[in-house]
Amino acid sequence: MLFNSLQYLVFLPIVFILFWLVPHKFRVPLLLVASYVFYMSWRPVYGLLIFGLTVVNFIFVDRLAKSEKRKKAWLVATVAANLITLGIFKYASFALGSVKGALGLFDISWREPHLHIILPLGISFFVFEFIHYVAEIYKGKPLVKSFPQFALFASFFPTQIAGPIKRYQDFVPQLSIPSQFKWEYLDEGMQLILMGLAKKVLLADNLSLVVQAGFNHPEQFSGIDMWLIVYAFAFQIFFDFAGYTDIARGSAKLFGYKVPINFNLPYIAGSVAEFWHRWHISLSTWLRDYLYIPLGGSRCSKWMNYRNLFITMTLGGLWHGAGSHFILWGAYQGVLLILHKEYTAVLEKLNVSKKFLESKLYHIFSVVCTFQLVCFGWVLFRADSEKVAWEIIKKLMHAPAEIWHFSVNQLTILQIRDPIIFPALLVLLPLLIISQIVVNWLNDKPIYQSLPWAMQVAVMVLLMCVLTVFSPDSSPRFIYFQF
Amino acid sequence: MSRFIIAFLCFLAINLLATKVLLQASLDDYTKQSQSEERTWTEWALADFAKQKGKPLPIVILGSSLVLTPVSLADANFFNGTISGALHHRSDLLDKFLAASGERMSSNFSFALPGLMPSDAYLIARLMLDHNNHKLIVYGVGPRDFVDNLLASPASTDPYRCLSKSLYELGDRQASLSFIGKGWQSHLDFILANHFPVYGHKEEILAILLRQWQGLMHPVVNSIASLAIIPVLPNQLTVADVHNILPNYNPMSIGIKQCLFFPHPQIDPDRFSKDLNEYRQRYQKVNWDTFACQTEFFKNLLKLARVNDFNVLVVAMPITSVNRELLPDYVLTAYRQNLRVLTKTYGASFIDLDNGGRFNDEDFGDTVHLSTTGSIKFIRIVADYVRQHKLLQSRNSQRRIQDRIQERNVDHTHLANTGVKI
Repeated sequence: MLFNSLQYLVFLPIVFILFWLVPHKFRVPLLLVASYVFYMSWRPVYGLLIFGLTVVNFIFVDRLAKSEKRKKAWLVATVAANLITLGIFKYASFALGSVKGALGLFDISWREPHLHIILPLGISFFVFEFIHYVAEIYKGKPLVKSFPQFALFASFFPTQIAGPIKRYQDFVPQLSIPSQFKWEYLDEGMQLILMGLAKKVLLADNLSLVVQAGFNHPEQFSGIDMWLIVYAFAFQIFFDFAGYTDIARGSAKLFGYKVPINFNLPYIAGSVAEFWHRWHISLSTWLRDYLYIPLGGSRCSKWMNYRNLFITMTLGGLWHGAGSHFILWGAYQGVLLILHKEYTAVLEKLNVSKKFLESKLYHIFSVVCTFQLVCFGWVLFRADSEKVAWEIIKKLMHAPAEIWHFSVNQLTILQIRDPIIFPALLVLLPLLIISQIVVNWLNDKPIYQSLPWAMQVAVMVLLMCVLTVFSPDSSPRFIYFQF
Repeated sequence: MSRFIIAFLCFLAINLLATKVLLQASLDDYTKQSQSEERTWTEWALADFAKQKGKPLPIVILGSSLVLTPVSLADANFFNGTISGALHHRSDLLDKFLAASGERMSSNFSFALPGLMPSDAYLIARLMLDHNNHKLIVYGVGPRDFVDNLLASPASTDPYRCLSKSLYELGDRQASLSFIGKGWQSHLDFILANHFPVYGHKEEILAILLRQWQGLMHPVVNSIASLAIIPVLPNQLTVADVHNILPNYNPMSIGIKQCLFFPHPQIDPDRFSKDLNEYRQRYQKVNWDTFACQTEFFKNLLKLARVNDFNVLVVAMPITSVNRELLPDYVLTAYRQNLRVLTKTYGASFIDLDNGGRFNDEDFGDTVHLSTTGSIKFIRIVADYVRQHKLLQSRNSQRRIQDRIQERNVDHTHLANTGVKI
């Protein structure tokens, strides 16, 4: 079931009303049933997968907690069960294809078996939640004793398909609190849902037209066009995923639950390290806690630290999908983080004035450079293959030469009369960049924290009207569903 | 009090007001549109039809590309010039043949649109044919019109998108309901579209916005360009180029020069193999729900014509044996029997050009569309039939009484005759 579908428009109010009507003790079972209905509406048989994994994790982790001598064995067994499941469903076909490719290098022909596996939605997210749980119990944190609560932790429908990746210590205790209905749950929840839908339907889906055209037919566009298209993708993926997260957070809020934020104005980051503190926060903190630190983190030699960074980010890339371009993207992020560390060390060595490094001018320079580097990485992320990525990168590299004899005639995006988004891109992109800066500035202001009552109502009415125009939504599903 | 509840109530109130204002917009709006190149096939036809208001148009031609192609190709040959499929909505050759045979009132309008289904034909007849002194509907059909797998529901076509607002405006709930697909979502969709006037009309609203936006954007972009001492806005791409870059974007839109018919088109030697895959998809699994649903619309169209005193000439369009063989025999039998029984039941005329060997390979441009020679032959057959059977004369009341008696006898048996459970 998609958040931007008619089914969800009917499903959510029903669950919301039932939730607040039934006594507290029935609320968790109700949400559990609703979550399985939500999940199984797509492919019922995969309900068994999420249920099976839940049972295995619940039993194994219980054994782990009770075991004195074989804690590590239970940890390895539980993590392995999760990773093997993820591997089979997500990476098996890719692995077989890679083996075939490798054998091909030695002129060995091998016909790999065709696996009829359809990737279960959200598997990467709930598997990471299970691994987080087992790791925390291994560290000595308290068990979740109630099976329904544990099952709901993994299957909670607002976060089931594309996160945010929850922490059980934050989420499960909320399930035990017998809360009373408050209007603010409805208001804040619906506000978030409407904002999220607007980000997805109005911004991300429209930008996707530009992006689709550019990435499917790079040969039709100039180098400068391609830069604009890559910027468009940067905002498409941000609004798509941030929109999804807003709807997830809003839906959870309707039941009085809080789920973590995933984004904090990522494109105003002054370095790649800061970017990863602002982008997909629940994933980056997961990678930090359960991969980077166990590998040794930064409390080791410089080269080991760099190795850890590289491995963490490369595996983070692989998590996004079974494709070599995702691995390349992850490796690229790892290299950027290493280079950033080197750059910081060089600045320290050169004794560059702290005043200069903290100046506004230097900050703007850093933000612009970081944005460019991140956008360059998005090419690897979005391109369907390395070949396409390489073709686009060549175009991007050629752009500086085009600027010397630039004319508007070079811009194919201006020649496309329809849809609106093409000719508007020259105005829209600067506006989107400015909006990040404005929101960042407004964030500290009390007026932005609590907008006047009438303005909140007006914004909601406006969003409802605009979203009605864009319904029924036949747009592509959320990008992060595929991960 | 909840801010959301207040916002929701305001939203409902705005929609209530908007329903009153927006539903007053008539189909004449299509003529008020700027001469934008970006229109769908239906929008081009509606705009042209609106311009004909008040003029006598005794003949209305309906059909899919099976009819659009011969009407346009025959005229291209007749005028010895190139014809735009988007702009040409009549058959001058038919007029000429009829005039030559002594028919005085023979002007026509063609609503032949690619992919037109019986549901669309009914919708056009229901909403459009209330003026212009129409006497005769010539409706060319093919098996695809009844069994197209690529059609999600009668409400997923371009004519429905353009005309559904007017259907709601009529307040004919029964007619509106007949377009709803199966399942609660289709019903909910219908209810929302009925109560929220902008719901499901993204394309039209975007088209209006586009025109406004272009008016706003061109000066902005041009002024940015002039600041940078660079040339003004470049020429825009054609719709064909845009479709090349964005194949899935607004697929029913058509540019003036995108679908051209030439007087002497070259014969493609591979013409009988190129479109077979597409038709395999359309026919691959016969959906009897679609068949039954489209048959019902076809029946309703014939009923409507009888009530409004139009004659109807149903033409089973010729297709090649290569294409016909893609369909199972029982589907073809059901299709043919349906046409025969229903036309007889409702007093419509019927010519079966797909049976009888009147068209040979030379008459086809591909497996279903006629070539220039086939097109001229088709127009001539229609003209001869109209003249011989005096179809431009209104039905007399005696004939209607006879039709009703006949209907009582046949109505309940025709479905059994097709061998299809409906």
